[in-house]
Amino acid sequence: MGRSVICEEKLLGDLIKLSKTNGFTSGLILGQSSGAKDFVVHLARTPLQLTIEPDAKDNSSLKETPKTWNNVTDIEEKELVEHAKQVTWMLPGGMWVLGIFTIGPGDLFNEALAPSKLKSVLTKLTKCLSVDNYKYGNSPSTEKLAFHLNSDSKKYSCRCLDLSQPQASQTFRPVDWKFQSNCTKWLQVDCHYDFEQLSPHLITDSNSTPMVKKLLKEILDQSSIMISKAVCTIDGEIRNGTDSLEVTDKKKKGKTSGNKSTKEEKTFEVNLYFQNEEVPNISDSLQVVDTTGELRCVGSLSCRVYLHQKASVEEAVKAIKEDIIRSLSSRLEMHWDSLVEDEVESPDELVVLHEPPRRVLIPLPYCKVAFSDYLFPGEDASETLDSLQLLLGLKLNESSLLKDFEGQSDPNQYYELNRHSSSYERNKPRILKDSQVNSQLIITGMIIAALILFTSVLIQLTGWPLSIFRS
Amino acid sequence: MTPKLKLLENVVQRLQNINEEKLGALYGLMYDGILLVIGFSIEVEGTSFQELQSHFPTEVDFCGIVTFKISAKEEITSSISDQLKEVLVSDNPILLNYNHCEKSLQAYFCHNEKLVEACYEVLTEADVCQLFAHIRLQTSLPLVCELAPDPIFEAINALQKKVSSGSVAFRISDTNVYLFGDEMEGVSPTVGELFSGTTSDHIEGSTRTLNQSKSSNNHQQPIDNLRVMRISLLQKCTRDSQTEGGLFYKRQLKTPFLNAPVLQFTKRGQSEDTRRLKLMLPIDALSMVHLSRKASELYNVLVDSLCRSLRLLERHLSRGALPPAQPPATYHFRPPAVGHFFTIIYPKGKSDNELEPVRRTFHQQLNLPTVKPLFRPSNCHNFNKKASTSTLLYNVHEGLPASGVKDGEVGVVHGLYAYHHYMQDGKDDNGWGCAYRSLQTLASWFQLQGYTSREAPSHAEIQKCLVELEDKPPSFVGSRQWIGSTEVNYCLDAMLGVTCRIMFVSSGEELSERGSELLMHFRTQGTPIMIGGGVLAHTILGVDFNRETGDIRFLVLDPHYTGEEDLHIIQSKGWVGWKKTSFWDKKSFYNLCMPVRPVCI
Repeated sequence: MGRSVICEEKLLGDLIKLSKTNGFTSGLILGQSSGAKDFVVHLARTPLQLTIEPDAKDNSSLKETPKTWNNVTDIEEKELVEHAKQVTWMLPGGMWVLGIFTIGPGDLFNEALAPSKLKSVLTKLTKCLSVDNYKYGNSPSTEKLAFHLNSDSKKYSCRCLDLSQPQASQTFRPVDWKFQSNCTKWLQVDCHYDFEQLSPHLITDSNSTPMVKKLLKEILDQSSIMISKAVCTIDGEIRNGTDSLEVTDKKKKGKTSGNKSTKEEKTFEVNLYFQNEEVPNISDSLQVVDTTGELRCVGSLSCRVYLHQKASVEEAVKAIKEDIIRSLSSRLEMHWDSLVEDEVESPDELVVLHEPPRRVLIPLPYCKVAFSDYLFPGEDASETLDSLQLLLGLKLNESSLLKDFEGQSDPNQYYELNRHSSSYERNKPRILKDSQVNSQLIITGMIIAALILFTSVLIQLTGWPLSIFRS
Repeated sequence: MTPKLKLLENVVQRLQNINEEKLGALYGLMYDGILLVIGFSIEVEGTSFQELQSHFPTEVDFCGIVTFKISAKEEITSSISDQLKEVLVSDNPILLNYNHCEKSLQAYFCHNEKLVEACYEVLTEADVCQLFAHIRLQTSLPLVCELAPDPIFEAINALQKKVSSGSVAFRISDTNVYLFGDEMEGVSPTVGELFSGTTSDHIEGSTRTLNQSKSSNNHQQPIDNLRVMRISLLQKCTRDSQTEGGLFYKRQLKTPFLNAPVLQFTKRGQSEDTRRLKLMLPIDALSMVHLSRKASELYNVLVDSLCRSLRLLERHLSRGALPPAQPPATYHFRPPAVGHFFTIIYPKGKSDNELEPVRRTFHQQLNLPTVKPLFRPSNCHNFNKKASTSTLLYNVHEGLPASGVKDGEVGVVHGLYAYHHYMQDGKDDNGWGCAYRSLQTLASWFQLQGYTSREAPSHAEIQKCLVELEDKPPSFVGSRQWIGSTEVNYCLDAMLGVTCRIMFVSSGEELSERGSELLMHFRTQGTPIMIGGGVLAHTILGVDFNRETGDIRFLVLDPHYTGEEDLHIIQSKGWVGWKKTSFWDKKSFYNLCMPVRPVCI
């Protein structure tokens, strides 16, 4: 049995549109891989100028159009890889970059040079995606897809390359690629990972100012270990990993048949449980730590993953776990990249709040699956819409984004959290959102000044503020 | 409806040791409308009955008062009434009175401040083991807080709240049975059924599989079928979505939706203590549940036992020195006379000497003799005997047929010893190591009885010890030279601080005249005796002696055995057995090294 791929039918139309330009276009195949089957949910052409190389790219007006090459051997691996990295951040758990597609004249797989070029691109891509353990860039299948659409004949073909084979014996093998509408009934699985179970992270480095990045990496490492070992319940039950996710669903539905509308919208609810060590490790069971502060994670990371109709419980659990880690690592990375200074520095304030970007969901046009993007507090979605067009080729309205998938926290709440400790009371928390920290502070200052001015004017006018309430 | 009353036999027996007016508390548990009293404690200044409850397995609660009055008529005095008010578990606290003059035990239930005499039934420890299972929850919970009693109290309190809020689940170890607290009672199996499904893994058998011989001491009865179910903890790290489910969490959600994670950095203030205690709290909690209880009810029992364990830890930490020098460690004791588990937390690795005052209080509270250790870490109950690294056999004499002495008086070793013999632990000492092995058996007795935490010494350790005592030249270490009774005596003194009485007999025959002395030794000391004579060393474990006829047999453990740890061979081939006087060599003289049991706790 060879590999078979089912691809959302409407994506073919998009490809044909892209094939109207001359030369070669390339992009990424995105979707789910399960055994010898792949489900493609999206094809993302590789945009121009992802890696900003000032000398090579002089014409910035080309931005709107996808990059084309004259020959398939001109395809720049670097750009594909960078594209794949950025797209991976946006994928829900259980979805991966499955391979690459190319559009151009001729039949690539029968050409002399093209196959070895595709081979090298796929190898490079897979290698680069495996660098970051927390992004899960590579699908569990070692067979990577290469799809080609002949822009002249509009005929397509797909091959796969098994990278687990020794390099010399790697050859492209035929793949059964089908375009199909509603390629699978996607099962939706939700989970809300809660940080409040983690005990505060003590900051002990007394010699130097603690580095945000280092601390966040520690939190990421710690979370990833605990999550990977966590026990999973689906709709409140521990289920056998090899069972199919949907079977019991049907059984349950059988009991409460009648409500057909909810049948379609069934969402699986996953809960994770950390398995506590039975006996504490003696070496670190008791410590007295001299701390300069502590770091507390508050809030919930919301996850939504999609699984093909016949997915097993195990696949669902894996997808959720990957989604938590992938999303956590993506947003923390975005956060530390956005910091002007990599220090928990604030000589005056005792409490500093860091707000990494929150997740918003991007529904795909042709199927139920949604990808993710991240919004910093106060940031509006226009940038997201731009990047969606650039990275995924999606033209969306702001209204189609699911912006309240995760709530934006109210910074005052964390001021409240410290109420019990009198030493904090005089100190309003400083809020670090992104690179505009300084301007934020200035704005806040201006608002406060305006408020003071306003109140003083009010007092002047009314004699006593209470009279507002009286009138 | 007043419950029926049952008393554990051990309680009745132990109450009879008290012959002065005292006030005590009773601890028991309810099942099927029956109150079963399994333990009691005596009032000791500075302690409270309610507090002592946390040392008992969960489900066992402070349930009444015991008095020791000689007056015939029982009435509720104000002091008793005050104490009874502290009984929280039952509206009908129980009052027992033991009259030591008449040796009578009366039981009453309190009914609206009035006493109603109650009948009671006595259950043996074996009966109780048939009815109940012990559930052992082992886990660890992280604790981070300031280094002061109040923050410790608050932090542990917060942990108690957290685990009580439905955020934990339990797993029966080595099975796929999980408890989430929402199990349906109707379809839930009983605790007994859980055991029968997983028999051998969870029911802890006795290492001593053979029946007790008639000669052994009463209080050493092995507790067969002590059912222990091991449980581990899971901590929920997700929230239910608000739209569906969310039964547990709805009330906790203050905001309408779940907020994205944020990171809150808090810097220590100028005046603030920058030190933080970071501790993995070792949770090791027992509960006692009736076999007919539904598994669905276990969830709440386990949460209670988690909280009980946290309370013990909190008390231990906030009353101890800060910062604690050692992490806490939980020990479960089951002294034979007591017949129930009693849980104590000690700082891990703290010396037995330093903890003596703590142990003394527990001895007093449980009214236990203060002549031998019962609550040292080395006395603690060994739950996984099967998994123990040592393959040694214990008390191999148990199950032997009677000695054959008609109407003899029997005295045998008290408690447990390990059978050490030739060729063990990969050491080929065939032909020269018999006295070393006998010494090891003696040392094992002191370890198993809790007098020392020190393992039986190896040959090399014994030799080094004798060189250090300047009894032997340095070349002695690593040699294959024999040792005798004198050396055994030196080593016991130097290594364990145990003194020995040395008995000298000029010939093997003369031993038959020492029946009374040996009987006295086993009655009062109960330690195994090392005997050396000629080129041989043996261990005497007991004596059966008829004072009138002079007929005598010696229970001898032979260290010259070179075979496998096979009890059947050891017993049938006479490597342990009752020996006549002719067993001893007529022509050689003997020295008996008779260890004196230290008086300590």
